[in-house]
Amino acid sequence: MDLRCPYCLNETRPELKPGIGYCCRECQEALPKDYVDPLNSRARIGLVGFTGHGKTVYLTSLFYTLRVLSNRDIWRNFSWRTCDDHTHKIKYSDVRNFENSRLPASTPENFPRPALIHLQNVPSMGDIFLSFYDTAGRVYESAEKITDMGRFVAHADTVFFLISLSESGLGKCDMGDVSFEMERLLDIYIRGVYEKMHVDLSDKQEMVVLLTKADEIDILPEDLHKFLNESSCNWWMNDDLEARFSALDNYSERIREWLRSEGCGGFVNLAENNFKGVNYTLISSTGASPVGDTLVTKLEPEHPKGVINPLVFAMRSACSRESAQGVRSFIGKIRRR
Amino acid sequence: MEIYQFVYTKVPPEESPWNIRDFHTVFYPVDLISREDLYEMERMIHKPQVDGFRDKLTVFYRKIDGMDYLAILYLTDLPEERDVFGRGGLFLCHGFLFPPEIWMMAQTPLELFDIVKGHVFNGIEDLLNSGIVDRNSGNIEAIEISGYSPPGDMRPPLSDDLKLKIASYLFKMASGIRDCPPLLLAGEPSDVSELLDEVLFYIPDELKVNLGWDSAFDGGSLYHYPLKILGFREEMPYGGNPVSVDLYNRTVDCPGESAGLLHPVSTYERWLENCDERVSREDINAAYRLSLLVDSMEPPSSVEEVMPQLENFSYINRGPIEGQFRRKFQELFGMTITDPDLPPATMLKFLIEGASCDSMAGFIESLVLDGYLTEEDIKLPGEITERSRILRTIQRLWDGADITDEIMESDSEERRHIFAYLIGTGLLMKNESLKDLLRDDDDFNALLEEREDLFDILNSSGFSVSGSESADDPEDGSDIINLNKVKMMISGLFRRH
Repeated sequence: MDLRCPYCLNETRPELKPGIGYCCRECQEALPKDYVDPLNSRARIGLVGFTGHGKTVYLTSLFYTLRVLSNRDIWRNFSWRTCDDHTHKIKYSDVRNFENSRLPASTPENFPRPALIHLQNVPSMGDIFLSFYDTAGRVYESAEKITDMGRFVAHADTVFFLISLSESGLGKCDMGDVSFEMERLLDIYIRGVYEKMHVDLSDKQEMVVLLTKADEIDILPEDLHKFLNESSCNWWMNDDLEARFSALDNYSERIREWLRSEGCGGFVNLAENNFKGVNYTLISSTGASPVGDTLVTKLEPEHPKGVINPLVFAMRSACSRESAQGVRSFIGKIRRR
Repeated sequence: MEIYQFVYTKVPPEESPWNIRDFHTVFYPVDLISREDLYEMERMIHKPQVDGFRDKLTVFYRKIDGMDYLAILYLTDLPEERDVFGRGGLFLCHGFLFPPEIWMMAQTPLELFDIVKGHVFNGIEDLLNSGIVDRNSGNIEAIEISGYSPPGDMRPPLSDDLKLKIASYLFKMASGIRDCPPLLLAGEPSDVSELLDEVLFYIPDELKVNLGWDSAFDGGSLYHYPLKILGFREEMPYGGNPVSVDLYNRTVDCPGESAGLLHPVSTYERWLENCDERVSREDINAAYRLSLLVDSMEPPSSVEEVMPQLENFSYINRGPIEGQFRRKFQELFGMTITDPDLPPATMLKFLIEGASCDSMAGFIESLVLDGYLTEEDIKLPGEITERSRILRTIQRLWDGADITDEIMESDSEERRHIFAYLIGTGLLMKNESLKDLLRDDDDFNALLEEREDLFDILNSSGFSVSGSESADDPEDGSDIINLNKVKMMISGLFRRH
């Protein structure tokens, strides 16, 4: 079965090499067994956002929170593991530093090495294989850079648009300027991926807007503020996950409307007219603003807010994609008979 | 002479001429470098994300305004610096661009880095306080150097097996004759750079421009990086099937199908492997031009260009040179030569100059005279007959012209050669006027007295020597029969020759 190599991004039919395992025929890199397994759902996620908007901190916080979900058995029988040395290092070194209240360093403009993780027993979704790509925010300052260092986004199933309203000028200038900055990111992205890399975003790519550093948004409506504060890892301690999914959808819609009401309708419309689907979330990766690269108070599991929510949107899309493919494949088989 | 420079780092946006918050090229020679050039050079900047990383060099060549500049990027970690968000992870990459008139004088890139390393900025404050940067335009002044005199121009031959393997690999990579996987070198960045710098000396200038290395590419993507020669210390680059060199243990690990890439294939690589004299860059370039000639028949513009290595190169590569010599000889002279008894340097000169090669006229003269060759055996191009009066005379004879005048104008030695040839080939017996001319010629008669074999040939063909001509009637065919016999005999001698 052909699949896209997470390293070279080429469509490939993996070959099994004795003593090595599965390898990409194009770049020869070893591929994780579970990534190759056609029974596993897969989601490729690209992190998009200007510098300082929290991409790397989000990823670290996400890994941290996944550990919490597993360690505290918040998602029953849930576990996750890394699939290569690079991701292993993130989990056991960067996340460890994060637990000690140290934030990761800024990301250089290197071509990103994917973080590959395998989630097992995700409630309502089962097993899923995730690959994350994170690079410097500078890449999203120009369409040319996106086609080079950011070309992984062309093959992402879901892109996480990380936008910090405070870093976009909230508090220093009016919301029009903030909206301008949000649209600028989206406009560059569409030019790079749709115009230059010819990816049909409206057919291929879901978008999740992550309003990061949401604890700093002092104009947030009360209900959204409340939701943010409640959405720590413990929010998922609930047997009725479908209800949680439904709540996420409702809050997504609520955030969308709030953005519109704040004069960011241009961004919302541009996103919805160009992507297959758009969802909105509020995130606070650390729970409170750090001082420099250190958190003011020691990180506790409940501090990160909303970090699992975008992932849930991406995983649900992946699962519905897989089911749709399963149905298509089933119908195809019946027709052939 | 000017060395251009640029600086890529992260400064507070208000300090940047471009008002950018992230890493970017803050200062560069705005009149020299286009935006496209800048992007391409920024692609070569990889910050290794491993603990303990301090600094590294990246070296490559970049065409700017039609000229190949040597770019040396010095990337240094700034562990104490913080960006506007309070984050660490900052670094400064100071790039130097050397125009060809400078780098072509130097033996190796690092020799040039020694000139400029005193100019490297120590940190962001040092950069922003510098008087050579213009915060409005983003321009940075070039470094002026005067009177650069490169140290000694000779280096010992490459005798180290590992270095030879790497040189062979780089040569193939640079010449593009084979598809080479990336070359990874596990080692300290300084050791990687030192080794590659040393080996690069042995790569011809013409090819160097196709190479470049990054001495610390830890954790990088081989598949997406423009440079293919990469060092790493801790985290192996990913996404390829590289040839790996371990500088700690001095071992090479090569995927099966790439093993041949480490061994000499071209005549240049064979020269490099077997050369036992000290060499200069002129020698390297000369040997490369010669290898192009022998391996792909691309002649240099002149013998002078390759003269420094003509003898040595040809001695080492006698086999392939002889093969090409035979091919070209057949093409020019219409004759197959099996065992040319010529010095390999002469054969090389012939490959360069063709029939105009001075030493070939003498060789062909000997072949024709000693082998009694006729126009049926060999073609004599104008460039050859121009250089030999004997061959010119013989060609006229073949053309049916009267060569009386030529013989009379020849000196004594030439005449004796021509006479022997005329007798040996039997052409004398077909030419009445020559027979009449020679019968009383003193040189001719002296030759017959010295050369019993020639005397016998004439006698057996019915030619009366010294006024005693016998019944040599060409009508009855007896001369021809005898002459054919003679020619067969002589051809046999020539083949043995």
